[in-house]
Amino acid sequence: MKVAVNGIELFFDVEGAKARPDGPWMRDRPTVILLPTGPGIDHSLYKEHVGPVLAEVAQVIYLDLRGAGRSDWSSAEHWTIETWVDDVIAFCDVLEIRRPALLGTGIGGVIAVQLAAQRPDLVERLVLVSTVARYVHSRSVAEFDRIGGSEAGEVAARYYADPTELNFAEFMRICVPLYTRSPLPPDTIARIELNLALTAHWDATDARDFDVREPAGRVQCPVLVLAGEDDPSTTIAGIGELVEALPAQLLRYERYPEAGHGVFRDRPEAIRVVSEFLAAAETA
Amino acid sequence: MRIQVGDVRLFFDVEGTKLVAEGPWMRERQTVVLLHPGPGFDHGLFKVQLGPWLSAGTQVVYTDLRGGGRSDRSTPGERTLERWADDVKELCDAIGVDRPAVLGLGFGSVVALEYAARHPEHPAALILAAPVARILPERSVAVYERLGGPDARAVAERFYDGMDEQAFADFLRVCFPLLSSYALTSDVIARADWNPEVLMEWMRGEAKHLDLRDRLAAIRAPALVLAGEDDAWAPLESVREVFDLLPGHKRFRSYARGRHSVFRDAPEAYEDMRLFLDDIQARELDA
Repeated sequence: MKVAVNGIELFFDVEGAKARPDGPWMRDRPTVILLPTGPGIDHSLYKEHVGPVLAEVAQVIYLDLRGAGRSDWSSAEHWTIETWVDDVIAFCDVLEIRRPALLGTGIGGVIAVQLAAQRPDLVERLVLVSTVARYVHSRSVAEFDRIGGSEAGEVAARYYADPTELNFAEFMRICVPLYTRSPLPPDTIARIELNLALTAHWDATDARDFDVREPAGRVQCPVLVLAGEDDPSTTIAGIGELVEALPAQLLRYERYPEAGHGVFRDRPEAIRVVSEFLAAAETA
Repeated sequence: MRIQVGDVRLFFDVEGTKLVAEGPWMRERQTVVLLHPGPGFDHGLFKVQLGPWLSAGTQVVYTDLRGGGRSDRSTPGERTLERWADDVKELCDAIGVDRPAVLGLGFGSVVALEYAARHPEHPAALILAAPVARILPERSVAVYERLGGPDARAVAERFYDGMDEQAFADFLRVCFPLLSSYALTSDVIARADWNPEVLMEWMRGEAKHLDLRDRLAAIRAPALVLAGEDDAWAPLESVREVFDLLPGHKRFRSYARGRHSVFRDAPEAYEDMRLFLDDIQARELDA
């Protein structure tokens, strides 16, 4: 499905009904919007395991952000956290999605934090998967070095310092396969509708200076943070920094040893933790 | 979810994804839009069995037609077949549903007919359960009598004649239960977000002179027509009339002992729908 938002069309897909018969009632279930890791990656990674499991307890909305997948790609000057946040707010507004939970991985999580800080009235719960408050490249270089050896560390350092096309290609070849412990199956990669121009643009611009530590402090809803301890992209140190910034009384923090970026691929049992967290919204 | 369509906001709900992961592809599935009986009723009864069943192989979109359920009530002048039919098209356009299969039951199938006649290129297919081109009281009254005896006939006659509140209350008590072969449990009734005044307004107004017979020639979409042989709302000869006038690819299935609750009464209707939808998916892929 597609809906017109902020002058563009956003693609979304849905799994599980909102209202379900329950004795004499139609009972509304929670809504969770899945924000893709990215930028430049579509929603397809969530379709395999995460969405179907969460749909048992919630209405799951998959969304391709502006610039990726089947949504309008728009143009480079709009590929910013600010625009993506505005798009998600407008998306909820147009479709009357009231108080959804937002689940974001990587930059999806950064968008979720920024949105929750900006519009506390809109967000019921946050699930932040492999999300850092800011990129500190030296931390990632050290982790690539630890997990993949010195070549990986050097390639990462070269790319972060100088994101040319050549260095990007090398980073994709040497470093990206180290994001998760269990490799992404070729079919899964083939299914992604990728906008590499956006990925490269992002790495050369906003990625270098975004920082959501201050907005994280303004979050007013319950937050679940999931972290892989072997994640060279969003490092455990970086995730710890975000955790420090979030309000402690609203926070649940789960760390997974031997799990990489995205956590769910390496540790599928983490999906059930999210289900329970979302279902708790109904009884809370 | 609700979205702006013309002058109203319409509720819709979704079951089943459009895109499913399949090897190296994201495969697109057919979307089926379900139009509930009514008017003034809501989509809820489809959630028990039909929607979940369809969602195994297709993406299902439920909606509440204007005047019922969680959609805006709108105003009497805007609660017309033409408006309901355009709402279906505009809802699909607003949420990016291209080439839907549209399934209607009873009043919903009448809306589907008008929609398909007004927008012939829009639907990929129609599943018309208990459709009629005209509301002919004498045909319905005869079925009520066959199922419920002379009492039911008398109550049905008063209902179609006068449509005052007492006649409507008696109709709900005596005739309404005859529309389904199973006892409509209090749960089903309690769950419905129902506006009987919208039904009454339509029955007293547009329904009296409804005649879609000439309109059906405009329809282009392939159609599966389903009839319950004991359906007092859509008597068999009325459904047959619709089928005979449909110009394109079409299939007719009627079910012994099927009432207006045809999906519930005739489990074999599911197999007929599956075969039809498989053909539609193949056609859409070829197109």
